Amino acid sequence: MSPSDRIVFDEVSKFYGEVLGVNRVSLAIPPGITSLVGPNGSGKSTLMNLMCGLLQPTVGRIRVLGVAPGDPEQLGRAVGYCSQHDAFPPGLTGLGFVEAFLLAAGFRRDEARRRAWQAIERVGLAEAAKRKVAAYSKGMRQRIKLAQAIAHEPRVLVLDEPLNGLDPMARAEVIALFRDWAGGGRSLIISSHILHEVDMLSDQVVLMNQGYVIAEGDIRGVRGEVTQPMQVMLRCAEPGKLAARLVQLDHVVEVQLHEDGGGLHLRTRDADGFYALLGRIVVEEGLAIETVTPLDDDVHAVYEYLIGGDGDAG
Amino acid sequence: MLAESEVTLASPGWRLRARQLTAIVRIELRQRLTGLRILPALLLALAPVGLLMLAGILIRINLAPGDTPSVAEAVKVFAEVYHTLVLRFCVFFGCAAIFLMLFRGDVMSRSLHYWFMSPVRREVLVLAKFLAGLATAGLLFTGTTVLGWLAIYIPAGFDQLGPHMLHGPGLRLLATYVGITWLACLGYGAVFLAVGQLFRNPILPTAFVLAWEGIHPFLPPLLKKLSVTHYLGSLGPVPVEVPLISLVAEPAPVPVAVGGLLLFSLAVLGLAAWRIRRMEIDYGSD
Amino acid sequence: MAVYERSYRPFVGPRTPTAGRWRVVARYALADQWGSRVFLASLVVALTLPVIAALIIYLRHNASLLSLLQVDVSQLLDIDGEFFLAGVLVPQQWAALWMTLLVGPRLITADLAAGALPLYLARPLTRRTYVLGKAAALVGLLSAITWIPGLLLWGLQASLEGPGWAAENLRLAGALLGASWTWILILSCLSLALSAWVRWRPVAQLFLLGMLTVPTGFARAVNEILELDRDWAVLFSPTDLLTVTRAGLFGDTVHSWAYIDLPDLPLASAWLAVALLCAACLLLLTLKVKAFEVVR
Repeated sequence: MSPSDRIVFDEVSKFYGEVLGVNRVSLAIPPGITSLVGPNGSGKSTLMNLMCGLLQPTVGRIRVLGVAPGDPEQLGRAVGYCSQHDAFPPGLTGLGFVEAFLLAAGFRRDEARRRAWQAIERVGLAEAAKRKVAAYSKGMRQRIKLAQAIAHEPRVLVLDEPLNGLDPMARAEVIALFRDWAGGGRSLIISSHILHEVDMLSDQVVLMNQGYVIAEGDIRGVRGEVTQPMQVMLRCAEPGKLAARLVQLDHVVEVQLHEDGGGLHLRTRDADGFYALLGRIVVEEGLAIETVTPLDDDVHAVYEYLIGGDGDAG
Repeated sequence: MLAESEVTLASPGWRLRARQLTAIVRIELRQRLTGLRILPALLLALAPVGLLMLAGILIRINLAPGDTPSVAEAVKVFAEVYHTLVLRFCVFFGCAAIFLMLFRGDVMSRSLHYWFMSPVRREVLVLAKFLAGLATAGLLFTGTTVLGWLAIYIPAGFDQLGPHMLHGPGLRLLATYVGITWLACLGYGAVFLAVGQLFRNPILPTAFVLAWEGIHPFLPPLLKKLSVTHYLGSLGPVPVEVPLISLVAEPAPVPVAVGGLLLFSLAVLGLAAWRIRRMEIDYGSD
Repeated sequence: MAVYERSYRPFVGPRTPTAGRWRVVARYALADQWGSRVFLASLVVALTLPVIAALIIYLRHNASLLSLLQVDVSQLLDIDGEFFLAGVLVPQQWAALWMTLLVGPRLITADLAAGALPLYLARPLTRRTYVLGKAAALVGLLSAITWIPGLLLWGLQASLEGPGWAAENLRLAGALLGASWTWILILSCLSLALSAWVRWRPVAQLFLLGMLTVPTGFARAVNEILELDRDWAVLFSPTDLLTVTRAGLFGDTVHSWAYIDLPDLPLASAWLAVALLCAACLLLLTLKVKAFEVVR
């Protein structure tokens, strides 16, 4: 993949006076869905604002699909942005809001109207399109912001906390929209503190803490890099027999039998090695395995290992 | 693969920029001219008109039989009110209310990023917002000037309007006052647009400009040349009284006054356009 | 609800007495201002002039220092009514206006913008306590730069000049106190009312600046063109009302030249206008400061 398909941060730092925003970030974000995850103040929004040209890096260089964020004419075509702020220009209807910025972009009136309707229908707000945005519910306002961000069909969509305020139904719809959006080789960058949704949604994650990128890549790859032993749950008929074999393996550091006698819980330093040996053990011992479940190759576990806390990135 | 937007949106160029400029001016005008936002400036624009109309009506009611009020006297009163009230306070605060909010208002309502994320050069955005503000302020205060001017015919009767405007100096004087009004909006507008963009709290520079323009009569001639009031005052077609203890300075010649104000406004706009390229969005607490 | 009963422990310690709760609001009202460089610089400048005035008073009474500096007493200002009016009070009242512009519009606006008013009023605080606390913060600040330094300077002069001067110039002290409080009341009421009605601080500041200057221009224009028997239009101009009431308080303690350009208005009507202005502002405050907000 060429740099013109990626969002590239090259040794980027941003300081707000003496306060660190992000420090020495080097990233190359490929197309697909990328989630920025980290606690409050970790630098997620700063990173998004930098790639949108709303902030200037103190040092370093950014390119979004080969475009410098300081070139709004090109960047605005390529990028759609949905801020975390629940704010709108006053006095506009949903349709007027989406249409206004298409007209400002230079679309002709009929084309702007067509695109505005298309975007509004896509986020399921057609019925409320002619009502004032000020009268919208929180979820509707999130969706109209999304419509505004996608109306000009950008190749990169940057969404700061896009799932906030959406009810479960709307969440499911919006997540489906994201998947659909990112399908055609486009980039979707989202920040969210709802980790299980990030996990379901993302092709890759960027984990941030205190202004630093502490991990990036696809979630299983990141998990593989983490030196913490990995947890696996097995449900089987004779867990004691299986446990006796497993404790002989060098990379298995802990085995716990379930109280109901129907399974076990183990921690291993080499998950791939474990899976490779498991089949042999099962055949040799004649065991019947019901399920094998990796417990922590999700973003929640990775977050917990790398950043700490209970996984509430909020 | 080209995205759909790149197929239908023309390549960046002067034609596209002109279309963007027109669209942004329209959007801004619709926002500035409707709703409660316009109310303070509208009140400031209408108050002198009300005052001049009230004065005209009272003078007419109290006319002794046989008295014929002179239009020339009324023009002098208009000139006084125009310089001491309309220019000094109404246009000043009206422009402050309109132009300070062009960018600062969007920062306060946390919606500036919508503009910054549009595929529009930021210089075009500055120019478009300025033109929208200028049109709003210019139209409002041209209304003040024209309606206030019409009020001076109330004592003498509107039958004087035709002769004074068409065969007397009326039309020339009115056109001059309208021109001064637009120049004032241009000068103050450029200053307040830049102030609203450059300063997080624009009240400090606004109060400074107000104080500077307020002490203008007492400034030495050299410093007078650094105030908008000096140039606008020089353009006034009817001389007005100056405070007793003021320092008198030669009025600036018309080409210098007009050219100076235009150049000054262009320079301030240039500064704002240059500065906005590096402007960052910070929705802090306001 | 056993879990709730086990875990909930109401506060049983001492509470701030009801009558003193406004002090808590006042203490926090200006808390964030102390971090502002503009505020601190303005405060320092506002307090510099009284220090200079104190030095002048001290110099005026220190013959040995004067001879050391080779300064002729006649070259120094006379410490009289003019000194206290034009040299101390008027500049300090301008400083008070500036400080009000910086601080006043933020007092309630910040709470409104953050939706904090219901939080405040959900505590055992009444609306009156809340407004009193906010007003006290501003009144305290303005007092510190108007009547307190004014009276201290008067006291310094009295102590250096002797009890005879104090007895002769008692009215001066009263005038300093009265004029300062009139201006403090006008500024506090206007800025609190504006800050309750205008959600954004810069807009509220612009309104306040306009309300203190535009009516002056209107009053001049009205008096000019309507040719009324008295300058009645200044009844709507807060700064002119201050000038008239201040002149009434100082009376003959200052020479007539200090009253050049004094609006021609009956003193009683000026006091009545001040009272009505403050009452109108308080009414606007009570209409807006509520524990709930209607969002349209």
